[in-house]
Amino acid sequence: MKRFGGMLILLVSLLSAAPAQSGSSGNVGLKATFKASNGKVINLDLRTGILVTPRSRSSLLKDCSDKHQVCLTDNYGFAFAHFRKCNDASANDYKMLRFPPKVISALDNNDVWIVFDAAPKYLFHYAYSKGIVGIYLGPTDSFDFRSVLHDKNFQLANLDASEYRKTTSGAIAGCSE
Amino acid sequence: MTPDWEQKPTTVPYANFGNPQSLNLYAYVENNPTTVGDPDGHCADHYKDGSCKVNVDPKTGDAGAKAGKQLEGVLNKYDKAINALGDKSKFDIKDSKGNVIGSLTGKEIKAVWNGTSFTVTNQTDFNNGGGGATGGTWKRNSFSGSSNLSPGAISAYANAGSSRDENPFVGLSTMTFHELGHETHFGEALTRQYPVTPDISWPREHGASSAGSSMAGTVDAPFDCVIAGGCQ
Repeated sequence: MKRFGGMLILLVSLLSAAPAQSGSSGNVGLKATFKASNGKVINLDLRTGILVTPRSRSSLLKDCSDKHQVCLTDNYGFAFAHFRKCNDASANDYKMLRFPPKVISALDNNDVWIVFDAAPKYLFHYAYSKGIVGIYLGPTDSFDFRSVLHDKNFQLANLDASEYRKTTSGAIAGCSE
Repeated sequence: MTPDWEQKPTTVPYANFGNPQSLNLYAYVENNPTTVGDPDGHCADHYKDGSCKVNVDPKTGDAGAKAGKQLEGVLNKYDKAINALGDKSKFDIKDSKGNVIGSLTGKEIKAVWNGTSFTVTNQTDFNNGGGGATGGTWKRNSFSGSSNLSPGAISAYANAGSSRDENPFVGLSTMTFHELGHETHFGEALTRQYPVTPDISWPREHGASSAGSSMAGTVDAPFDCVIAGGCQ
């Protein structure tokens, strides 16, 4: 029962992060599936609080959100945090997140690719209104995406093979104005 | 925000060839361009003192105002040098291997620079056709367009520079020239070939970065291809 209470908090926190999307889609992102080109999937189930990746059969996510941020971690190599309000993501405020991200790349107006010190083997593709739209897994379990920061010839497109793209509707941790 | 199209720039001559000192680009500010304003700015929108203006949607609050000032910092720093480019100067666009894949003229660069109105706004859902990230229209040799960026996007570029142990200005400069790269004839041809859809087209984006990198190079502005996801 204690676990159920934690999951309920997790659910409420994540849904409140994307009111526009959850209200319009009907599918509020309770369960997100991210699929790679080779058919493998990452499942992020916010109803049960369970994360399943090809490398970890399943792990239990903990909600570390507060009124300013949406935060998830399994305390075992997976971590994510982003502001509930897009405007809070000003230059210095990233440090206020429980897991301050390192920004690998940004593109035009919507997309940013971030990696967290607490979860260097994951690279998140985050779109401001849509939330997490892609998750990259490194080629090995020990791969550190922070290493690409120092690669002068790095191209995100080269990571296509390792990107798991979100295939379900509904926003996961999307920020609002 | 709708760009103020009434404030179209007019040509202001920079050099009087009878006065060689007028060729010194910074003489107008007594060789101290970092502290003195540029009354003859040529960017698309201006303050009364002539410095470059970024339109800011008041709904974006303090974050928008801050982002607007950051963007103005880039525009003001290179406005004079961009407008000093010779019309017929030709600049190669190169891919990441150094192969020439296109070219820009000084006239084209100036048209894009002076014809683009920058706005900080959250109304930027370009995939649905509203707002628009960056776009415009060429009429012969003149360009009129707009580039709408959110405060979050602008801070993300600055943070990308910081994450790479670079000055945040590197990220902001990369963002500015990447967006302008979309508007060059080279960038527009790629947009026709790879239209904007909800999915990112890397050929289009990498090409825009290559054009932006070339444009930045004409005025020694920093451009980091990694920050924009890579170059062609």
